[in-house]
Amino acid sequence: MIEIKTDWSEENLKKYIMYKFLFSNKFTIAAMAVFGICFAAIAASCITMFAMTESAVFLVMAGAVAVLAAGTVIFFIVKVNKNVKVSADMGKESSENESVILTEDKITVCKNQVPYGEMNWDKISSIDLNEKGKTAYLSTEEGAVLILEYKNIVVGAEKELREMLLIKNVKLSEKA
Amino acid sequence: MLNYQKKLEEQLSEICSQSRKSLLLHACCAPCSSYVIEYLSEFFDITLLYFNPNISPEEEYRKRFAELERLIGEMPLKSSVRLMAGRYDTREFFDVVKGLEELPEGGERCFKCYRLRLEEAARTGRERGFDFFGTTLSISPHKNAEKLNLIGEELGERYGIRYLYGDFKKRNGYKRSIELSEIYGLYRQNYCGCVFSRMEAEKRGKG
Repeated sequence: MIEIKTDWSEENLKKYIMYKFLFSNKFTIAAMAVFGICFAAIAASCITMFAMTESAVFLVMAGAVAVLAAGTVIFFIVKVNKNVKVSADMGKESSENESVILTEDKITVCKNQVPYGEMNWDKISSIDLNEKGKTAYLSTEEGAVLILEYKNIVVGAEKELREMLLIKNVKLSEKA
Repeated sequence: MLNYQKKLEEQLSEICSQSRKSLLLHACCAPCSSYVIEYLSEFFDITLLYFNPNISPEEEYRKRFAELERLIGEMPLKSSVRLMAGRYDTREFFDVVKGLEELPEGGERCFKCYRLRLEEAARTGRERGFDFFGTTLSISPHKNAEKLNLIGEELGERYGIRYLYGDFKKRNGYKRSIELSEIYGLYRQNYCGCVFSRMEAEKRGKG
């Protein structure tokens, strides 16, 4: 049995979104790389054309592409920050002093160490172990996520938790 | 991704009706080997090949070998399992991973290491007349089972020896290996074996 405090903070949510978006999904990484290369190629072509023709139109086009690329990045950051803030505000009060007990059969959610809800492991649709961040993310199909930081373990050891999650992850992959 | 556990089961059901086959099984350590030999000793005459030039320092290499030796001596198995010690020259490992030192664990450097060890198993298996060769490595959730099986398949064709597919972590294999490690009090290292994986484990530890 492992008991671990959950921490629904803005910082944790941000880390989760960044991890999910940038590190755990190869498709996203590839898409972002393609997106970046395309923008860079268009901007470089415009500059080359400007150098060859000295037509200011190409310089304006290169600038427009750069502004568009920067705008996209800023939009993404603002959007993520806004979503994180909303989620953090929504969950902050209810998640105070919350912890989960993980056993072989189920996950029990506790408040002030008193159980008030439980779910089977079947409900968990993905398990991500962020080894660098020393955190595990357990997500459900509905989009809910449990953020488990190893430093917040109350009962049990980090090794135990990692092993349990690795076993559950193997089972998940078998289901898939 | 192909289900290599299913492929293994197909191979096992195929050989069930034939005379008992011999298997040269590459082994990396005792915990990983525990479940695999428990599972496969029903079907094969197993010889474990401990060929791991990636492991460092040497003290660690020897410790893992001693644990493996102790395990097969203590574990009640369906048939006897032999243990063969391979060469230990870390230069072999550093030569194949040259230029890939900076890569993170689980990438191309690891694939080269899989190949180095599997190739030795295939070559030795062929020279010594084994029917099959394979590896215990796929029991670890950190290893890329697909890559391992693809390399094994390719080497099997090249050396003319049948490769035993596997994804031993499945069907509670990884869980069972943890249980067996506890039962036999096996030494369980916290890094895969090479100096790079050790550094990553240390970094994780410091967090």
